[in-house]
Amino acid sequence: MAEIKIEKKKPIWPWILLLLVPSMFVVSWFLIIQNDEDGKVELVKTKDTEVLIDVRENNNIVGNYITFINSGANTMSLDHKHTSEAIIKLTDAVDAMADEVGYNVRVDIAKAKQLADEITVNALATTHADKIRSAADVLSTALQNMQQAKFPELSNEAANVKSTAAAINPQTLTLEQRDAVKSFFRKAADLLNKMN
Amino acid sequence: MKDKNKNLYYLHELSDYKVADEYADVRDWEVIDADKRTIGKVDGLLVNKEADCVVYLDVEVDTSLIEADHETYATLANKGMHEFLNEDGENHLIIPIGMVTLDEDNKKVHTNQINYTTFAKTKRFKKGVDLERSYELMVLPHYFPDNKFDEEGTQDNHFYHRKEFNPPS
Repeated sequence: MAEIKIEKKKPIWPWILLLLVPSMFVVSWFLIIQNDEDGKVELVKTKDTEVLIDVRENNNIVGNYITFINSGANTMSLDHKHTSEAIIKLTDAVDAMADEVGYNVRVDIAKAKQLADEITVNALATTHADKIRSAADVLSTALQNMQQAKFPELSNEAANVKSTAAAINPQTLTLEQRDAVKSFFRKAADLLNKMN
Repeated sequence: MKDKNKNLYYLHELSDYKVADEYADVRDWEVIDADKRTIGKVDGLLVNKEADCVVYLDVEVDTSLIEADHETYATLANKGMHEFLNEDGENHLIIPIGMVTLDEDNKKVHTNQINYTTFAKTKRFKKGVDLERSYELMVLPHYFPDNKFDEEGTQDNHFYHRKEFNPPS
């Protein structure tokens, strides 16, 4: 003879919870991820260097040098006072320009000032061209380094300064290569004018 | 059917109950009588909650069985049986679970103690009707004419402890 027992159904809510809880975690996780993406600030690559050529520093010291070079100081006296003064003004201008744009040229400046002093003191020394060339090298290098760091658009101008400095022959008397020296000062003034 | 037996329910009415896992759910199984004839199919299970088991199979009978004896069932006066008049639409009857065996392989229910004629002349009811103890006491003596079903002792759930509802232990 047959027998058929019955029993109470097992409650289904534990199974629902079992499925619901992980589902809620998954949904929450997706929502958190979604919110993170919504709130994420898009990183925009910006230049870490300001375009300084568009900024007019108008530094007076730099201005003084440019004015000095462009003020008809076409002569170069025998005692080389003018050359020395030009180098000193250029040295100060490079120093001031470096301060304006936050570039360290202290070592170069010190070396250039020392050379300018030597030129002033030994007006008749035949080694003047050596000193002028050395000072030109130091200052043109400082200008070029500053240009590469702060004024990438002025690479041609910086290269011109460097090449005119290199054109000064250290074995030739300064008075015999006025044009080369003047050219160096003018190119330096041109570069500084654009930087300033 | 005035005396509603509140301890007899269709299993599908009890949404929190089901056939126990180790037992067969015989709904829709074919019902075969002692003459190996099909009398219908199991349409529902009538359960007693206190006994936690099925006590009757609710069988939807074949139309052939209804046609076999559509009108009346003449009782034998000396057995105390009554005449049953089945009306149109009354096509369900109950079979005590203790009277059947299950062929689980072929999904068939066998009633080896009751023949086709007996089923044909059994009082039937319409599908889904709440069954009362009075109906049970009308049908059971028809199936078991030699058994005694007096009114006393048949009003509570203990009624389903009878052998008609339980397999021999």
